[in-house]
Amino acid sequence: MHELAIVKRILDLALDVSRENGALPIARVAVDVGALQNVVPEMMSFAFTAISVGTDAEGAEFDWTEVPAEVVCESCEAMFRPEAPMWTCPECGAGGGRVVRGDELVLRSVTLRE
Amino acid sequence: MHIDVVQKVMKLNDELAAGVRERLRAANVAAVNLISAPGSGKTSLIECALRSVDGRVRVGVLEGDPDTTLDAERVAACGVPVVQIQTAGGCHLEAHLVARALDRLPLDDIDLLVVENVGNLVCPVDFDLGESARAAIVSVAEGHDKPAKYPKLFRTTDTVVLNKIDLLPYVDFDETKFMEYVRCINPRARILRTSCRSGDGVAAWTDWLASIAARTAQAPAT
Repeated sequence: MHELAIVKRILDLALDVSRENGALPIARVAVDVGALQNVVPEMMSFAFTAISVGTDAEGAEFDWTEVPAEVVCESCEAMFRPEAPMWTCPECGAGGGRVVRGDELVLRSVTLRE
Repeated sequence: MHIDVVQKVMKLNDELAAGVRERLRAANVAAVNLISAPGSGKTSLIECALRSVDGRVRVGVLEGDPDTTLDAERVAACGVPVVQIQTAGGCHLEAHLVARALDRLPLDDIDLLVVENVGNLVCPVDFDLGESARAAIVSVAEGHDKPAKYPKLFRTTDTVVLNKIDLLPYVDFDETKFMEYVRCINPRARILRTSCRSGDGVAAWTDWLASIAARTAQAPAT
């Protein structure tokens, strides 16, 4: 359940943004979650609701967007979207690959109530 | 009011891990992060390495567990400096815990810091601890499908240790399939086969740990 540790960071970052902008209450946080992250966004959303109680983010919407995985084959440089945990290049059949997209975990924006 | 932030959520941990890495580099200490399920034999592998390292490398150990000092006591009995980090139920180590633990280790007297993470194949993977190398450990009793089920660990590791190979005759572990999974997920990973009971592969495991320390010692200062 490391989602809790991750969500605590998101809450801290969002509260920093609120403080830097007149301590306005937070209406919404938007997060990009890469498909390759070991996290369950629904669990993050639940954890955010729970730990934001009593803070300026209480009741804020936790809006997450999944970023699909994209991988480049290290043998033939073909770009592909892996769908299974085992990555096999559809062009040359090589295993593995370098992640181009899908590893991110980013606080994209914060919306404050005015 | 809409405010664009675009900030990595793991930034704080990553910065603290960079601090740990820099502090270790300044002291010429390499660090290895051992990640596995509970009961795969991490502590036994550390004990075996400490017995067979034969003074080539001076080792210090960080033990991460939700509770007790049992592992630290085992390692301390081998005569090396050890710090137990109790996470109070936490499922993984984070860089700030390692940073604090470094204060309690004689960094000038060690070449290699072995960090035994909390037993867990998911959560520890996302937290950089400032390590120079990462090893994933699987015991044969856990089943050959673990690389496929937990790909991120195997994708981010330098070495995969298949442990408890003395149990192979007694469990339905398809080693060919296991190797195929690892090769497909991480073609570059080194794979070691070990048994702390029979001693098979312990020399290669110890050599690998020593090679991490040697690599750091030779690295030019930046």
